[in-house]
Amino acid sequence: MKAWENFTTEFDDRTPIYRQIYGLFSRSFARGLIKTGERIPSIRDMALQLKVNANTMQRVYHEMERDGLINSKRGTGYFFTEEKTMVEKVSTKMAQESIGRFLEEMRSLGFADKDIVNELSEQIKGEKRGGGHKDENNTFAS
Amino acid sequence: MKTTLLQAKEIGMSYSNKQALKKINMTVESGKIIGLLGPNGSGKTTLMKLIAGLLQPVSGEIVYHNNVRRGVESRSTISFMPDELRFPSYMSVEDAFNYYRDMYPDYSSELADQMKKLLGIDEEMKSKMKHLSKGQKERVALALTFSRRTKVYLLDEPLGGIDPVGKKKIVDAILAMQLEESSILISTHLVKDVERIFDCVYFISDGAIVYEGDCDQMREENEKTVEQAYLEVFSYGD
Repeated sequence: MKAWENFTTEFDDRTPIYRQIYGLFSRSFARGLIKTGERIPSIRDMALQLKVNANTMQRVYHEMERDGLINSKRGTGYFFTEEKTMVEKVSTKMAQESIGRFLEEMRSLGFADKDIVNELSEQIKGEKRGGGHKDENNTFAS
Repeated sequence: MKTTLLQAKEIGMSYSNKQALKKINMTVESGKIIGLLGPNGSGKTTLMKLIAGLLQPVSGEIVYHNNVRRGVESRSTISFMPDELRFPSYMSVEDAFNYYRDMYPDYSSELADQMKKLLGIDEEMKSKMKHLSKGQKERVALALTFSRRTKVYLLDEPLGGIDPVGKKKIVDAILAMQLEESSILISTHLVKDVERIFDCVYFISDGAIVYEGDCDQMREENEKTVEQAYLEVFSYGD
C-alpha cells in the first residue's frame, strides 16, 4: 500500500485544496511513509484518485518541485527527492509551522512568552510523570 | 498551452419586454472547469443556450475559438447538456446513444463506453427513456454529452434531482473528462457538492455577473468556502 492510497479525499473547503494536498505529501514524507527517490503517480492519476481538479494537482506538484520535494524526470514521471537531508528539512519546517500556530493561539489567550515556556515545560513534565492528565487539562481546548 | 476557447462580450438578451441578461462578459480558457453559479431564474440557462448557439443575443457577441461562426459551426464544437433531456419516450438508452453517434461526427464510442461505465448506466442500455428515474436520466444525459470529443462542454444543472451516490458518479465523470485542450462550464445552484472541482466561478444574479474569481484565491484571501461567498452574495437584501 502506497502512502497516497491512504490519503483522504475529504478536504476543508475554507483552505486552498492544493495546500491541503501538499500537506498530505510532505507529512507522509517527513514520517518516512514515502521514501526518498520513490516514484509518485502522474498528476492526472493523482487528481482522479483524490477527486480534485487536475489544475489543483498540477499546482501541488509544481510547488513540491519548487520546494525541492520532488523532481520530474522527463518522460518517466515524478520522484521524491533522493536527498536524505530533505526529510529532516521538511519535518523541521512542519514543526516550525506547528509551533507558530501554537504561539499565535497562546498569545491570543494573553500569555506572555515566558509564561508560554513555563506552561509548556510544566505540561511536558506532567506527561512524563505519567498518564492520564492530558484529558483533564484539555477541558478548555475546544 | 492555454487557449481561449470562447469569449462572451457584452452579451445582452431579452424575452419580449423582460431583460434576461445584461452585458455579460466571460472568457473560457482551455483546461478549465468553470462554475456558473446563481439561483433559479438568474439567467444561467439563457446564458448557456446563447453560448451553445441555440439563441441569438440581442446585443454583444460571442467569439468562438478559430473564429468559428455562431450557428451550425459553433454547435459542432460545443457539447451541450440541457437541464432536461428530451428524447421520444419510445427510445431506449441505447437508441439515444446511436442517435448521438449518427448525429455528431465527433462522437467517440471509446468515450461513450468509458462514460457509461463511470456513470453506471451500462446496465440500463435496454431500458426505455420513459422508465428512467430523474437521476438516471441525468446520468444518461451527461454520458451522451461527454461522448463527443470536442472543445467546450456545457452542463446545465447536471446535479438537479440526484442522490448522493449519483452526484459522486457525476463528479467522477467530470474529472475524468477534464482535458488540457477542452473546458467544462457547469451551471448550478448546488454549490457545496461541486465547489472543489472548479478552477474559477462566476456568480450570476438577475441576469448580470456580480462576481468572478479563482476558487483557491477566494479561499486563500477570505478563508471562506465558495459556498459561503455564494450565500453572502445571494442572501443580501433578503
